[in-house]
Amino acid sequence: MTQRLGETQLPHLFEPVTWAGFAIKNRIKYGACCVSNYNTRDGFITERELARTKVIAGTGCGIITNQGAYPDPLGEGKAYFSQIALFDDKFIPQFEKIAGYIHDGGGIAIQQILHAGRYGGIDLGYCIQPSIVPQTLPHFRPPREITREQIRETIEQHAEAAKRAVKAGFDGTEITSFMGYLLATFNSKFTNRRTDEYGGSIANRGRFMRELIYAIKAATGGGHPLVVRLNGAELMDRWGGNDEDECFELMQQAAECGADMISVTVGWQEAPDSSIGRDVPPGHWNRLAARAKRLLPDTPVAFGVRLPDPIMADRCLAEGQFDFWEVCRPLLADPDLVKKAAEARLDEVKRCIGSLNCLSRLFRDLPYTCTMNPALGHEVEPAYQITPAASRKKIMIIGAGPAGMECAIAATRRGHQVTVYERGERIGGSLLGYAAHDLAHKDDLASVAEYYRVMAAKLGIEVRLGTQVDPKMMRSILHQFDAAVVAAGARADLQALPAPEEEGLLVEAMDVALGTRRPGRRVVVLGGGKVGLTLAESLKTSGSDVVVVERERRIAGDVMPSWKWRHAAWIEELDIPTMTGCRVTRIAKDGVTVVDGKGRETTLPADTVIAASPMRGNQELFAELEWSIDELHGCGDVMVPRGLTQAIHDGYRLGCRL
Amino acid sequence: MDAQTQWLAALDIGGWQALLDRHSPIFAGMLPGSRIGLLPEEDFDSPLAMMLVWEATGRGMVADYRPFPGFEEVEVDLLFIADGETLGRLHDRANPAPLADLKRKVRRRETLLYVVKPRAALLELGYEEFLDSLGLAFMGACR
Repeated sequence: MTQRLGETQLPHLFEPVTWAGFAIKNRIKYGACCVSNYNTRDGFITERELARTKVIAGTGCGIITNQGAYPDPLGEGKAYFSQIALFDDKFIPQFEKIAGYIHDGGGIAIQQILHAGRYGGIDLGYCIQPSIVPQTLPHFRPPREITREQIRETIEQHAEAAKRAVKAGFDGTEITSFMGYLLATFNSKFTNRRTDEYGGSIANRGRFMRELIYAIKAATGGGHPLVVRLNGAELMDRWGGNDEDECFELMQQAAECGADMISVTVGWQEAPDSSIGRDVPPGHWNRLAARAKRLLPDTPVAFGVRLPDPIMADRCLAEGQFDFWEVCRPLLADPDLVKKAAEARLDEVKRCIGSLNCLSRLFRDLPYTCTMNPALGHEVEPAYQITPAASRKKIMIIGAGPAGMECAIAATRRGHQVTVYERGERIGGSLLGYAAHDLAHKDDLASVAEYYRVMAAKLGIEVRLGTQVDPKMMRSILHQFDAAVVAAGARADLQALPAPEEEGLLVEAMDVALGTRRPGRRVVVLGGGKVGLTLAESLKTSGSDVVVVERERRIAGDVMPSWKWRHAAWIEELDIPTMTGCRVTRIAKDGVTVVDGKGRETTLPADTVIAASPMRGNQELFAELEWSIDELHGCGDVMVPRGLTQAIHDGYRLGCRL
Repeated sequence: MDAQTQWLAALDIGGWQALLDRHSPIFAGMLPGSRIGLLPEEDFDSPLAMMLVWEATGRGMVADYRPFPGFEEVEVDLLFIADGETLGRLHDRANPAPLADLKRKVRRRETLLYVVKPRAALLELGYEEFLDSLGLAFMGACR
């Protein structure tokens, strides 16, 4: 077969290999990184899930791991509200469909068996683990100690579930010691305080894992490989968890008793440090995979934690750091990532930006969605499909931010002729400003704007930069367009604040973010939401003295749940004072006067006061355009200022229905 | 002098009671019988470990030292594990913001907080204000 350009450029990634007797088309493993929460509360798979799985099956990965199924009828292993189950033969027909989809897509099908242990029992009043060690986060169930009889039963349930997976057509299975799930709680000293043969020494703590491996391999028989996911670092050693040496000793145990692949993971849910967020540099954990490979040269190693880049993955494969690039979230963001890599079209990839929207939703018991991929989880819904337009329209879009550009791309793909008007000099809108100030990993947010620039060029979308749309301009182009979309974003509502007593003292957050206004040394930021915090952190890092004033009782109210802690931590680390529950009563040369909930007044000296809240959509154009054009729509922050995820999703949905 | 004796000798109950009295609004909503434990990290595995208990009564919070019987038997709703230095600062009457210190330590995971009772039970017991003051809402999972 002729190799495509990208396959020659990334020869290691696209190298066909043999694993456990299976011919694998490349070294890419779709990882079961998290469950979807698309299914029924009693463990059955829904049409929504099947539609999503078809997309996964079509990603082009050589190995595809289906999301974790809990193995026990009581649901002690169930971690998520709508997690799939495999504790009974009644589930087999649906798993047959999934295995079939994966095989149709040319992949090897692996089913993960996931007993959540410490994080399980979501429908019960308790969870089980080796010892009674309470959790350190507040949303889990109180622990009960698993008895030796229950250990035997649990192992049997895993083996039976694995056997069902194979019966359904899966080629192999996977168990996971990720995150603090049951297997991890046996392995780790943090949670395993038993004094019997399952606790104490590392050999004893690893006994449950070894028995699990033996039981599953015996149940599934030869020719059905077993993958074991194990932490290279728990990040819990500060509190008595395993150190890295112990983690690797457990890997060795797994390999010695027959694991066919070790998938190296990082961190527990309760760990103090980030492992997969945007604040972790790509490639940060690669050393753990390399260590696993050095330790286990004869056992295939899969790895992909915070490794979203196929070029870096190819390099790691070339250097022998691991054998399979295990990837999940980048494929949620762009299911065509592997195809685009194979066709040397990586500039068209929608990158996973590590927003953690997917996980934020899971931990609110919601189905996962993706900031970058509005269609994720909506594959069965016509409103999210790009279908040919019934009639081809000329569409003008005002604003080249994420909402406008998503709308432009979707509408263009449907056959419309789209022109985007942007008053700034670059594509990206307010996102450009916030990317420049993001302390986490600027390149991730900047990549979104770059993606829009590339796609506009490739799809032939005309983007008129430096063009302000106003009534005069509209009169000049009257009747040239069938539809207009206002995607002009939002700005801080200065009317909601006291009028400044000196001109130039109060500036708008967007102007500072985009660099058109330079703040003085002493800065008061009004608004402790994501906009205000991002600017405050950046300005403090640049040497300004910054104080944040927030009307609500807490800062970060509009921040993604899994990212709130990050801002809170930065604010503390940077020693930025925050005044919460305060309203502003005066903005004057001597500073900003605020009053707290008890009526106490404080004046904060300021050279510059930045208005970052409340935000208000730039809706003025609606009135101007209402009688100038046949169809008038709005999308993104211009309608309700909510942020990047909603802007992308709004824009995409509107583009699909224009 | 072993670690526990040092801890008991250095941090008198009167100091803890003063802390609780100074910050009584934070505990005001707690139902009688609600208990918060604090255990020195150094004593965590000692069979003779003593923990500090802050217990809500009808007349406010009361501080007391009690044996730590292990996780299975412990009768507290939340259990902090902190190093001696953190406990010392928390106890220090001259510290203007001792609970803010504790909050920072918990957020940084330099002090470990075991959530012994489920969240719903904690809310029923009136822990909302206390949990809020610790910023627990900021602590997420899988990051």
